[in-house]
Amino acid sequence: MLTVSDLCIEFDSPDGMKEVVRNANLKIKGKEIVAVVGESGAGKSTIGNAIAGMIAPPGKITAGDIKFNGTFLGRLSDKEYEDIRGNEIACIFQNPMTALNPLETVGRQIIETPMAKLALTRQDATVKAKSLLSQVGFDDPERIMSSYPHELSGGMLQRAVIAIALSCDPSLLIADEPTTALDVSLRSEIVSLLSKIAEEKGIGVLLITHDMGVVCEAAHRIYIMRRGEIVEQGNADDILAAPQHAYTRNLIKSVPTNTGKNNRMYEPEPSEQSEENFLSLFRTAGSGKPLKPVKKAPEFGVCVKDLSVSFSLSRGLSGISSKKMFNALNSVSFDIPQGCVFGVVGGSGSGKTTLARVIAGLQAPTTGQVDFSKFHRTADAAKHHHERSSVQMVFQNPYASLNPRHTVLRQLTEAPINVRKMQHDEAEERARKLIEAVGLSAQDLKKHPHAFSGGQLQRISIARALSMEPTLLICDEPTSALDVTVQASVLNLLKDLNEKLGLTIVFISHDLPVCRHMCDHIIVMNNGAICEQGDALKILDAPQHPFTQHLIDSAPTFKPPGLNKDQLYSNTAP
Amino acid sequence: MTFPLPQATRQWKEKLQAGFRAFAGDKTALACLTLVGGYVFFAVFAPIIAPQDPQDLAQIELIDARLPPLSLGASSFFILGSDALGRDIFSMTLYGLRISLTVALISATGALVFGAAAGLTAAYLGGWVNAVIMRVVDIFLSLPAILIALLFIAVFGRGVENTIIAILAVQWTHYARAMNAAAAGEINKDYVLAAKLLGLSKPRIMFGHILPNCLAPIFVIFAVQLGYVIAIEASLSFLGLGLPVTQPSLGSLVADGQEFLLSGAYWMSLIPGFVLLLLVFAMNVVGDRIRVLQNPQLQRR
Repeated sequence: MLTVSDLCIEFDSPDGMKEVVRNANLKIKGKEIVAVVGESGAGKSTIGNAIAGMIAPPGKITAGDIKFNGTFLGRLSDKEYEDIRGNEIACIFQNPMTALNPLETVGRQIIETPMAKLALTRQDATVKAKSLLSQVGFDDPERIMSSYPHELSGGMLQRAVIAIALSCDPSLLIADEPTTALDVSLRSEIVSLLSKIAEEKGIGVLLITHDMGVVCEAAHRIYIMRRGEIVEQGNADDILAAPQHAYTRNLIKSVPTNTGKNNRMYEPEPSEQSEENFLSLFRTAGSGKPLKPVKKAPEFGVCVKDLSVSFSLSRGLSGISSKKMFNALNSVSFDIPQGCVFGVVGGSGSGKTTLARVIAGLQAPTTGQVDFSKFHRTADAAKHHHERSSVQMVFQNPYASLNPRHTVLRQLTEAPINVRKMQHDEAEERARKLIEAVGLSAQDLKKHPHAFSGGQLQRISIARALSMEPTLLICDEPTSALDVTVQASVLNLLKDLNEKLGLTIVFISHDLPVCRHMCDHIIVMNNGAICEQGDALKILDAPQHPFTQHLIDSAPTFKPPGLNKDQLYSNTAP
Repeated sequence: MTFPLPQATRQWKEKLQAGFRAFAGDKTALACLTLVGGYVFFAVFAPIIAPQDPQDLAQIELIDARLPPLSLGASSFFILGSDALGRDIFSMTLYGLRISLTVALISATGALVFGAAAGLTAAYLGGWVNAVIMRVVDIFLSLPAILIALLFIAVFGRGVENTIIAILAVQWTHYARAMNAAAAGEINKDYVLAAKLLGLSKPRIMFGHILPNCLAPIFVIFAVQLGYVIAIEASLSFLGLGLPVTQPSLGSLVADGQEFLLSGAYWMSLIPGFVLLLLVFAMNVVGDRIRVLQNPQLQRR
């Protein structure tokens, strides 16, 4: 049905033409879900855009053909393309919240295209819209038709968007990261809906994604892309079971599994770290004594008692808050044992980040308290908890968490010099040790953040947090903005810090397999309250609370067919 | 810091060059930039270029009064004519330009520093501090600029310093509001939270971390507002409320000459007026071009 042959796409940039897609060959048949998989910047979305005729300057198709049901799409005029787009080829995008017009009801947006393109009457289009909505899984299409987008949740919106895409009976559906912006608990639902549609309506689906779990659940055939080139293609089962290309093997091995526990994750290109560097990180100025116990000490912990946080929803003219409140956290109590990795798991809006900010002291609790008195062991240390910056944080978005105008050296030395009153030479010496400990080189100290990739930035963030010799490190989704092959290096670094230095880590994540590998202890959060807490493996293997069960069931999981992942690991584990 | 940063400086140089190349893409703006450069040159070297020092009574002959342009007087050749006291209009205009530009630059810079500090403090401290500062800004912005300036002159009296204060009072609100908006956007970014967690002091976070990331819109406003500042100063001086008679700016020259307009001595008012018009126009075009370059969305149109 669709054949892409020798497609090349270039983008005009200040440094000359940049090849984004090189000699791509691709085929999609009806009823088939074809996944294009790759990391960010691999050029997978560009292929999707090219098929939909949405390559705009500075981008340009420089070679190759796209043949769709016998017509060469590259030779069509804009007007002819408009007839095909929407009619024959439909698209759904990453973020359903922005894909719909907020000022019109969902119903109006569904009937609009069929009325214009298929020349249906309003009645016919409405009937059709209702049947489409029930096909995508809505029980009460009438209510959805009269709803505005803000009244529906993300998962419902994405299903409505799929209904709109299907409204003109297309034969090809391009789904560009359809699950990425959705909460984990909704991803499986959308993926299985796509499978069902492809099967029932005979539509070909081009599924663009970076999520191996999604690929594993839905795709019939896979194209693996890297730096604009398709490096491997074939049946999904074959590729997942026996990847041929080295890059595909790395990609598959990097995905955390949902069984067993591996302390070290697979790293395609492990960074060099010396043991000595690590141990010298945590020596107080002058004394030369290691500051930290290396053993786990569960009896000393951070006690969180009856913690509640409410935000006021509206602000008055004066900027001073009014009475309407939203409870982000609802009397949450738990202990973080010293020396362990403490996982906080939950969907978006469950209060994970608020919790992190309260523990870090960035947000004052409405009621309750975070007690560090046992954690610090001496009363004096506990008293000076805030002045000593004992809690540090690593944030989700590495591109926003480092000041773009400061060099790495300044990021690593500013606080030691100004807060801990360290000498310049000493602070620089420490910065050099820190940057090497996180796997970068001393040369990198002179650079600004824009010179680094996401994974490197995240490691610099960790180094900056360590520059203050924290006793507690909070990591708020530290790898969810990173590609899967980079994720492992950051996670392994954190694991090393925990094991070798005894650093207590609060690890916030929505990714259950990652939590399984990282955490000793977890709490599961929903709507600002804790549903379940205890040993990580116990909870993940045998969840008791219905919400935890739902969370585990609904996340698309990666199970390579016929391949024992533990064997893969055993080749590389130290 | 002991590390030398040649790489960073080279980047700055490249950035500046690239910026200039982009600026030169608009020929009108380039011409106006050249014009502004010419004005600055004439203002800086006024004492060397001007054939006569209008303040030096020894150089002035009353017999040369009201000579039209291109006439040879008793003391020298008057290329742009002379005024009622026999002073050379060309020299007067050069000195007037010098004073106008100096006052404008000082007051605009002062407004930038004061306004940016106020906006940043308001955004960082938030709560009632923010509410009070920003409502004061709203009050200032809701009154006509010239009215506020007149009010300040009425309270403090005439003079160079007071004119600068009056213009600063008019202008600081623009910077405060832009800074407040930019800083409010930066404050919730993770790097600011990280700086707080590191235990850095408030002034250090405000001026060392947030400020450098908010400067682009501030400089754009500076470029756009500089033309208005000159116009406000000229208006005040024209009304006889700005600079003292001993330091005539372009605005005062226009005012001085206007009584002779009807008697046919047009050059006394028109020449400094035309110089002023061209200056404000050129500065506005340059400022607008910088604004467009800073905003990629405007650029595409």
